[in-house]
Amino acid sequence: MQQVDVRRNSILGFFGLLFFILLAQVFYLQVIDRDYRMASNSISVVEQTILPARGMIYDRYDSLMVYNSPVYDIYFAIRNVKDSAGICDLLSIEQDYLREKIAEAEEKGYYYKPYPLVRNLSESDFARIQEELYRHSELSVVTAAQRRYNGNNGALVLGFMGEVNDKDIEDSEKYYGLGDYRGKTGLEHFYEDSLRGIKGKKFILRDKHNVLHGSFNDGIRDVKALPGKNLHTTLSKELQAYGEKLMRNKVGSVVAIEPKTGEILALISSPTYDPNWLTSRNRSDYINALTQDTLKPMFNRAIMAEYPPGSTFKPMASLIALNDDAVNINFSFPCRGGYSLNRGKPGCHEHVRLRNMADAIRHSCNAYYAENFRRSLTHDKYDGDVRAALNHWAEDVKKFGYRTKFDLGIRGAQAGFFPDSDYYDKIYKGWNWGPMTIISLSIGQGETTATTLQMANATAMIANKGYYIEPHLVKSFDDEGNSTNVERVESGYTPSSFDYVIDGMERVYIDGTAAASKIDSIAACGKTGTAENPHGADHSIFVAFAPKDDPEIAIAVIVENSGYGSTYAAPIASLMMESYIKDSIAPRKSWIEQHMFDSDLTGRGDKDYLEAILEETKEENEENSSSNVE
Amino acid sequence: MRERQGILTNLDITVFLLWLILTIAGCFTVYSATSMGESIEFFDLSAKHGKQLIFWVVSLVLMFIILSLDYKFITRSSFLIYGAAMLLLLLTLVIGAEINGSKSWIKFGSFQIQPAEFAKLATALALAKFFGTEDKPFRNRKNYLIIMGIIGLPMLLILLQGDFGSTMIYLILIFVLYREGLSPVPIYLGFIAIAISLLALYFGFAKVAIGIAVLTGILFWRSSNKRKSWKLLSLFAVSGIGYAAAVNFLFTNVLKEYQQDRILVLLGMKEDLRGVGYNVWQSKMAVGSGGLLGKGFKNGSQTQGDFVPEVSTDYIFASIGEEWGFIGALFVIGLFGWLIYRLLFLAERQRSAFSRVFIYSVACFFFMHVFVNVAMAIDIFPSVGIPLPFFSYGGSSLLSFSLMLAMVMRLDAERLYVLR
Repeated sequence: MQQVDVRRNSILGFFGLLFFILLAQVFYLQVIDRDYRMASNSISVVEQTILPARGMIYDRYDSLMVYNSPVYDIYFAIRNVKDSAGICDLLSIEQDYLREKIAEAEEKGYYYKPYPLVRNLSESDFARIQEELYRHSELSVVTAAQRRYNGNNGALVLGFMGEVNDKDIEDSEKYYGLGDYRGKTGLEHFYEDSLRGIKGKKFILRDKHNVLHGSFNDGIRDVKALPGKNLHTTLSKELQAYGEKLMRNKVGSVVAIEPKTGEILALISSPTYDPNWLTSRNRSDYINALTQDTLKPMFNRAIMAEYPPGSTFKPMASLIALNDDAVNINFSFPCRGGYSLNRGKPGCHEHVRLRNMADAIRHSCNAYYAENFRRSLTHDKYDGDVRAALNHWAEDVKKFGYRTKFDLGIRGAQAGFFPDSDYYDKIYKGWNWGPMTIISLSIGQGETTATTLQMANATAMIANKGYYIEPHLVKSFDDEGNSTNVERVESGYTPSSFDYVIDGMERVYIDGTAAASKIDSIAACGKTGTAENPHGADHSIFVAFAPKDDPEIAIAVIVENSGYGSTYAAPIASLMMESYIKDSIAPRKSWIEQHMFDSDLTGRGDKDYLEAILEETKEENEENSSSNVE
Repeated sequence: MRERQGILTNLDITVFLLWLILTIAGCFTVYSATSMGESIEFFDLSAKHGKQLIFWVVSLVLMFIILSLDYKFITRSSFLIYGAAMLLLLLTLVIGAEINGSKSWIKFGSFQIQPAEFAKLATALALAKFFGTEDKPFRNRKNYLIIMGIIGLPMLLILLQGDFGSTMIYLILIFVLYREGLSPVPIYLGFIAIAISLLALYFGFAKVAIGIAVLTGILFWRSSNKRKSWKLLSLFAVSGIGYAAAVNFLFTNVLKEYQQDRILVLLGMKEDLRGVGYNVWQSKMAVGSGGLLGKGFKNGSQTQGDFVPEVSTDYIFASIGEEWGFIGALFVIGLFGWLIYRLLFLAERQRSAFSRVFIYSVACFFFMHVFVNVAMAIDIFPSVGIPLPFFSYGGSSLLSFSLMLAMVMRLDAERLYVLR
């Protein structure tokens, strides 16, 4: 027999060795290998996101424009789906839709994790299905907030919300999660970071039955949600709504600015749409219809469309020439139905003989402005250097905000165009070009283009007699005072030169081209314009401001393909100014107002938008298919 | 003969204090493991941890009774207790309640006892009694048969109940026999058997059989005395191959499917996190997620979230590991190590063979339980479902292990008065 000691020690050693193995393995699992900790956190502790309340949007008078309303999202865990027909019945969805969603969830690896199935159920919709929900353990409900628009105006300014895409999630460094909403366009998009607030987190213990057991670890890791800031815009909800109503069934745009502050009172692009459409359950139908519509309602004409300013350019042309000493206020030029020095081009319309510059503005004489431009380009101080003279003009139009891209926080703003000498050198490739070659610039035609916003801004510059404040849409965020830094741009022109031009613009209303749109007891100044349009009838343009002595509003209106400026643009601009300043329309003018409301230049009438568009596209498809057969 | 002193004077206070710390820690662990994230009164006697508290008090009382008894009561009633335990095991087979696939419980009203737990104590007593009365226990075949009978009978009865884990525990008694003079050859053979078993399961019978044949061939070719080694090696080859065949047969025909699966999962031959592997995976994750310092009392998200099956019984170590981290695991395993070391120390200082064999048996049972329980919680041993002494919820286990320690202390206190 072995020694007792040996036997005792072997046993001790054997036991000790095995205990050591135990401890080593425990140490490895707990201290060295980190996988288990991470796996555990994702399984038994649910991180719930607390969505902050999104900031609301108000107009300049603190009238509510955008708010949140509770909605219900239904999520489902695809691996737990048993009764798919029952789910479809309950949620009134198609089997195909459910299959599609299952495929989506599968692709993203959401097997047991809830995946959004149906979103934005209204309270009444939810109430209908609530009682039956308990039968489907695979379904879960998340209360969310949906954007609602008080009234149905300003769709393109406010923008819309949409589900984040993969890029949004990546760009936000995973701030957003699958199914989150964020602003996709307009102010909702630009001010997303301020409006959305900051998400909170709540850690909740989950057991294996997926039952939640309240706060984990007494909530020490929880983070409170920080609500979004309320946004106060410069818009006047009333004016915006009134303008949209006047522009109904017309294609065009309106921009109204408060000259003293550069605050945009209304920014309208027509046709437009009801922003509530894009939060409704058939959102995708509307988006399809809106993007297919040939009138492009998603295209913000007020800032994205570049039109030749036409005769509305003339007050600017006068100011540039006056301040360059090319002409004086008493200069006049004989009009013989056209510009005689250039074989009658540009042509002019019938009007009385001009005595001075104010008459030229009042009657919008093309011959006068052609000569105005020629004198300017051939001014002695340029020593016959037409290039330098033209470049001087290009610099001067910039002072009015032309050739400038205004960043309102809405995507797509355009800068418009006014050519300089390099441009023509390139076009004419060494050929000699002179004042007569580019004479159409003088009357706001030719290569000159500007957006409605730029025209309104240039008008604000005239109203202010020498400066403009960079136009903007945001007054402030909650209690933060004026948070937007806006630039003041000076023209450097003499104040008296503005007085003459303004006098002329007043005459436009008194007995000039916009006499029919005269506003009772308000001295308004305006300028009609007609932009030649190679694709169809001329665009009707009107710029104006009022009152003359203390301007409260400057406005630019463009109604596409509707003829002279006095036909649609001037009445609409005048009605809007009258409504804004006086809060009412004189009874004398109510027939004009009604006429504007009723005028239907698009032929859409009062048809429901979706139906009208669906009908149109259907017809188109039928035409296409029938033509194919032939 | 020395003058007798009071029992308390000679009581081994280390064992008692270790018992006290471990059982109290055990009650708290059961409290945490059964509360599932909700706050329950600690002294709520209707809850699981409350029942455990009652058993703790009962254990304490019974321990004092044992300590105050004459030690001769223990030595004289050994076979009686053994016999009673065996009858109880038989009775369990007849009237037992089936829980979790094994018929191991006898119900008494709202309580149920697990006779297999007490059978270990009884077996230790009977084994001690036999060695206490036999001067040369390994002198003839009859004695071998008696020893095998004492150990084999409870094993057979418990196996019939379907409790493979508790059956396996008895194998550890081979070390007691080794200490008392049994040749180490059976232990070596045991290890060879385990190796062959694993290889047979892993590679299949055919490959193992070929392997054994080749190995013996090489050994024979290399051996210096071929005449002498011929018999031994052919015996080895035949019994080895026979054993491998038996293992395959037993595995496929005797083990229940869930037991087969557990072994296959442990051997890495089957990956099934949703099925059998789920328990082990969850337990391992709970332990692993505890980190160095743990998540804190009642804050183990895995165990509180009811992800770990049987967390209050078989997988109680998951709760310890998750909530107290490596520090807690080290503490518990360390205390058990200390207790077992202390028991072996006490055993060696006994003058009577009875006391020595009994204490050795108790130490071995403790070792086996702690090792297997922790090892299965961290996935280095098949999930066989045996309790962690003093920690796993269950009155029978707590009572039986407490009584073992009480008897150890009683016998040890008497050691100076016992004549060899």
